[in-house]
Amino acid sequence: MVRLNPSAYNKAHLLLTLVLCISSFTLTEPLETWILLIVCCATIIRFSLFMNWQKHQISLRTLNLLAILSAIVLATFGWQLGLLLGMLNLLVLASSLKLMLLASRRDYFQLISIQFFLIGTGLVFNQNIAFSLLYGALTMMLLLSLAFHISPVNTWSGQIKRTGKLCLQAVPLCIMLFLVTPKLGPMWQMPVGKGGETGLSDKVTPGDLSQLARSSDLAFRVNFDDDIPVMSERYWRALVLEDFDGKSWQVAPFRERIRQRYQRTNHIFTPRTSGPGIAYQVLSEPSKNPWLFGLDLAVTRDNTIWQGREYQLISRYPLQSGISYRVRSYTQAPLLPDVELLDRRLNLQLPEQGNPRTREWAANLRQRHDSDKAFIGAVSNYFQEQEFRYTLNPSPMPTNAMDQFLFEDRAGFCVHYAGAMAYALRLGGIPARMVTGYLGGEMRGEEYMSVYQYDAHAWVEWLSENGWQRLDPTALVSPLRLEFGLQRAVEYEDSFMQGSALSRLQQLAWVNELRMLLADMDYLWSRWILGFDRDNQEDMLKALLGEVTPLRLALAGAALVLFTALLLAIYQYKHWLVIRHSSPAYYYHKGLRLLERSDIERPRWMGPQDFNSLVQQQQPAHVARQFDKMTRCYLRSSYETRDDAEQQILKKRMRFLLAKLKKALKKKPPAKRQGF
Amino acid sequence: MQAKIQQAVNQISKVILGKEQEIKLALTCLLAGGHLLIEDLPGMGKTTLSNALARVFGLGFSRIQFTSDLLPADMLGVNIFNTQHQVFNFHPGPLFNQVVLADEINRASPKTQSALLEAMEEHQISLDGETHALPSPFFVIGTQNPEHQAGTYPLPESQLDRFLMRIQLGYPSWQAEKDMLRQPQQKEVEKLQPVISPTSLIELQQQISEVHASDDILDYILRLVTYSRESEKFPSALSPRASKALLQAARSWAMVNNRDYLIPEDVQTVLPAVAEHRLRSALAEHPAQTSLSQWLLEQVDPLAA
Amino acid sequence: MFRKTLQPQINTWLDKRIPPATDFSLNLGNIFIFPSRFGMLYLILCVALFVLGTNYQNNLILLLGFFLLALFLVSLLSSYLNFAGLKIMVGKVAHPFAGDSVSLPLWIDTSAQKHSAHGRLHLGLYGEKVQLSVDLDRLTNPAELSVPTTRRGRLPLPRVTLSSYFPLGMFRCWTHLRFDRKVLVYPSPLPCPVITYSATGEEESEGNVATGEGYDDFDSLTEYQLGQPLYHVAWKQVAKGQGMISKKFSSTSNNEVWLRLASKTDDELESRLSHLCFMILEMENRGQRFGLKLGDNTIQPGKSSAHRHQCLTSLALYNNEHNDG
Repeated sequence: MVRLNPSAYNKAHLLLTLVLCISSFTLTEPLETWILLIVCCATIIRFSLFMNWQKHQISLRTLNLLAILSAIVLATFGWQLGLLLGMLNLLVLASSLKLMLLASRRDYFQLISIQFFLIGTGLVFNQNIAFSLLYGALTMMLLLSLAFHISPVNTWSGQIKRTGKLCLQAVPLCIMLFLVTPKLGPMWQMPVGKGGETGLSDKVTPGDLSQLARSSDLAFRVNFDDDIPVMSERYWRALVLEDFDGKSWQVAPFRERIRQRYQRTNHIFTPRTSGPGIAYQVLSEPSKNPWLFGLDLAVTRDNTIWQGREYQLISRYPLQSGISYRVRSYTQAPLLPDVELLDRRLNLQLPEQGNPRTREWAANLRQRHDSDKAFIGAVSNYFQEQEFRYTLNPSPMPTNAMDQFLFEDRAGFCVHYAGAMAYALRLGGIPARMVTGYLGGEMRGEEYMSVYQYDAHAWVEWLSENGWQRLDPTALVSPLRLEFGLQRAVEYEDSFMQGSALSRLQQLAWVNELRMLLADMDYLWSRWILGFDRDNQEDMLKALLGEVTPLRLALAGAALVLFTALLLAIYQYKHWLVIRHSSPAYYYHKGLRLLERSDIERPRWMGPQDFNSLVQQQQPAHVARQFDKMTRCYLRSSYETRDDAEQQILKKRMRFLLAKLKKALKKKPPAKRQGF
Repeated sequence: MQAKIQQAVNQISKVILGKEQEIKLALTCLLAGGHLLIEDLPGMGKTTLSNALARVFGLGFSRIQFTSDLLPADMLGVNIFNTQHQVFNFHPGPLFNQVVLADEINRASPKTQSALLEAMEEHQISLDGETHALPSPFFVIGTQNPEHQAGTYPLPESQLDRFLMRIQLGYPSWQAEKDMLRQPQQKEVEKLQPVISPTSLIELQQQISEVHASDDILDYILRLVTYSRESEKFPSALSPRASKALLQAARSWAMVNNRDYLIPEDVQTVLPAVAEHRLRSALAEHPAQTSLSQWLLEQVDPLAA
Repeated sequence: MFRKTLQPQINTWLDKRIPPATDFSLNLGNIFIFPSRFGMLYLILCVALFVLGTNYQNNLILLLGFFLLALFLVSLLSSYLNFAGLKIMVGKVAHPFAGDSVSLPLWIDTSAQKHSAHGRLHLGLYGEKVQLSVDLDRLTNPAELSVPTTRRGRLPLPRVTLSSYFPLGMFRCWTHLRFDRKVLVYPSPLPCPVITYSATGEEESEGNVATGEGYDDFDSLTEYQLGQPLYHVAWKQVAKGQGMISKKFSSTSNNEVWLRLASKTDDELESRLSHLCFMILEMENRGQRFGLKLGDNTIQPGKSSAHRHQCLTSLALYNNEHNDG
């Protein structure tokens, strides 16, 4: 079947094609390469159809074959992609196949709807300013394409102007809708894209965090309400790792199970707090993991966040996009175990075998030191006295890692120290666990603090009578790490962010300035756009309405509807408003109506001059004189002058003459009234 | 300049009594550079009018009496072989005059008619592959009998369109005719003095294009022609050429009335002359008495709402 | 099905809401507006984006969704106002023969209101497919719709549906206009032998009818049609390169004949009228002067097209129960 080319010079189709192509390429990561190739093919086909290089659409049979092949490939390899990516790939594939065949109006409308949705999906994966702007531009292009589809003969500039105007009109409404529509929690668990997880993980093997330390990606931002704790006190707890298998630390499976059970029964844990609290807001970057960050004993009211019994904040859903939440931290309150027996049992668990030298050493120390404190002191002493070195490039430790680290290499990273310490404490019979998170954070002026991936840190907590106590062995080895951050701690090593061009660029002052400026913008973006949440919304409503009562809400709702209507009306003011931009002609017509009321009617077809002479003949002199002046003035303005300035003068004169005419008509005694 | 126009009107009024409006219209037509069709019975002063027009402008005048046996060559001229020089010499016909009265145009055969109308349109004639330009200004006054008579060929609508205006002189008033009878001699026309030189006539014609037509006027003209196109009443509608002609004639009228801008009355005055012959069609469903252009004027409000 | 049963009610309602008129300014009273099929899809899309944004707690997606929704609202108004800027007038309608379609010229004025209308306007007869789409930005007046006719008489014009999707296709604005104008439909001509009568009422056989086209007088020049005798070709004009043109001659026979409605045959009235119609056309073609006697109506012999119109009109309206239907 030969299909004619409906696409030749069809701007609507061209724009649609461009949008599909660009939006697919912003999704290179989640999309399969071969699907991108098909998108390219579709783009090329459409483009050559547009230029009319190719006169006929490809045949349905060819396309069906291609569709079947792609479907088979996608079905074979796609099942391992997971639901979200599978769907996304399918969507892009389907729309590029449809694009190759695009002919009817119905196809077009379906395709353009899918494109809008694809942009929405794109926003799941990319949320920074640049991408948002790009997606905004793509949306505009789609709207433009629609406009061309509906009225094809218009010029580019005309269409852009018209569509742009519509969009500008929509913006205030959009903002209003965004601000007032109740922010709902997720209605159901959405599938999360695989891969691309960033930040900490729930299993740590010595050496892991050193990879993280080389990343300068943002982890989260904090916005303190008032006081900012000092750097060495900013231990951002994220994960509590209680299970040790001799090599790696991970979240205890048992802990995980009971958490799930509690979540199911919605058995909420409310930590006992005491002492002063620090309030702040955290803006987390999308990490695709559920865990969140807080200082020491952190409590949140947010019901999308689960308060873990090991003093850990967990989002109810993985962070596919950045979120913001408010937290209050009680730095002086003890971290009391919820069920002490359980905490003890979990945190005394040890692997049966391995690391013989460490076992022996710990047993020796324990014999010499009775009290827990003394034992901990002794272990700490060991780290201080021996020549331990802080490095981001430790040698690999395949077997008996603790032995090798403690007695041979004596060089390592925070995970090594924390791991060794916790292991040693457990060997000594003291319940201990590893906590991972971030330490420090870079303050940007007075406004907010940025915590980067390279701030990742691991430390130890041990159970005393006063609950869990923090113990950071890294501090013993490298106090600089605590006081000034990683950058200073490993300065001598030059291993910090090896190979990152940024590290070198950072030395240029203006580049740094620019980077900071961009960071600021990004912060504002995250804080107010990405991070606008229910709290913000409630605050705003409270600020606007005061107390939120049903009556006030109803009133506000009515006001909003009214406002919307008003806004829509204002957009078309030219239409509704009877334009009283009172030209001289307007006054002349008023004058004619005045005469009409006095039974002097102008025959519809009569010109102004003829009518004037009629009035001159038949009306009393005082009326006729005024009307004569008026007619002359009108003739001058409507037919003679080309000068705008003069129009203004004539307008004034007309107004004056109209008043005079009114007076003259009133003077006329009714008895003498005569018409024609 | 305008004084001169008035003078010309006065001059012509001396020979054609009581017909000032028609004289002014004829003058308007001449100034607008268009051709004039006078539809009237014999003896109403058509010849006198065209002769007088030619005289006051100091233009050359000729009269061609159209008959059924008039050939195009009689009018245009012929190439005659010059035996002395062994070449063809062109002998221009009576058409080579600035004012040409084509009397009883509907008596000639269609062939001759179309030769004349072609010359009117193009201001030149082609003969044996040679082009001869007609003098400038070139002004044809055609006359035709209103009544269909045996042996006439009425001009088709498409050719009527070539005449900018069609006027009827009509009988003079009682007083005017009495005055005319009182006049001693008919040779009055010969005594008329040129008032406007041909060069200043061309200047005047150029000035017409500078007469200001405001938006309101253009809208009025458009409303008129659009109405004629939309309404069922008119057998044939006014074409864009007609609207152009209407504007041109109105401008010329404004100038004759000493104004450099247009008012609706200008359009109203010239409309019957400009539009009536364009609105009619061969399908004579409408009796000749009702004036279609008058009806059209009555339907359209000259003032923009 | 559903629509069919409701049609009478809908029609009465429409007649009340949009009464017939010769010209229409589109306004609140006669415009209908509703989301188009794409508009519905678009709304579903907005909901889908809202769900997606909520489930991923992604404000940007929500913003996109709200933006599209706001655009929907804005385009409602601009769609309506654009359409309301139109003024529609019906032009001259020709007189068709029954069974032929007549073209209904619609004069569209785009700047009737303060701002002019844009986009494509789709025109069609009410309840039928769109016949043509005109671009309001490149308008050539009039837009001609073809209206089929079925029977003779003075028939009302059918409702005309105008619709527009401007600016973004989310809304369909439409109106069903009925023009207060009647079309005079002649009966359809049905070929038959021509039977004429003399002035005295005697029947004349066909052979006696003088052929209108004669050989005596030159009448006019017409385009040459294949099959015409070559001696009719106007060779002078051909030589001038004006194409094949033939001369038409006519006889100046002043023979007057009369036509009448056949009374003897068993045919129905309609087909007899059709035959008569054919005869009138035939007479006209032959250039024969003829008169018509139809019932009480007598039309004196004539030859012009006006005469023809008069005759055919009387045929169209003869005994017509739908005279003013």
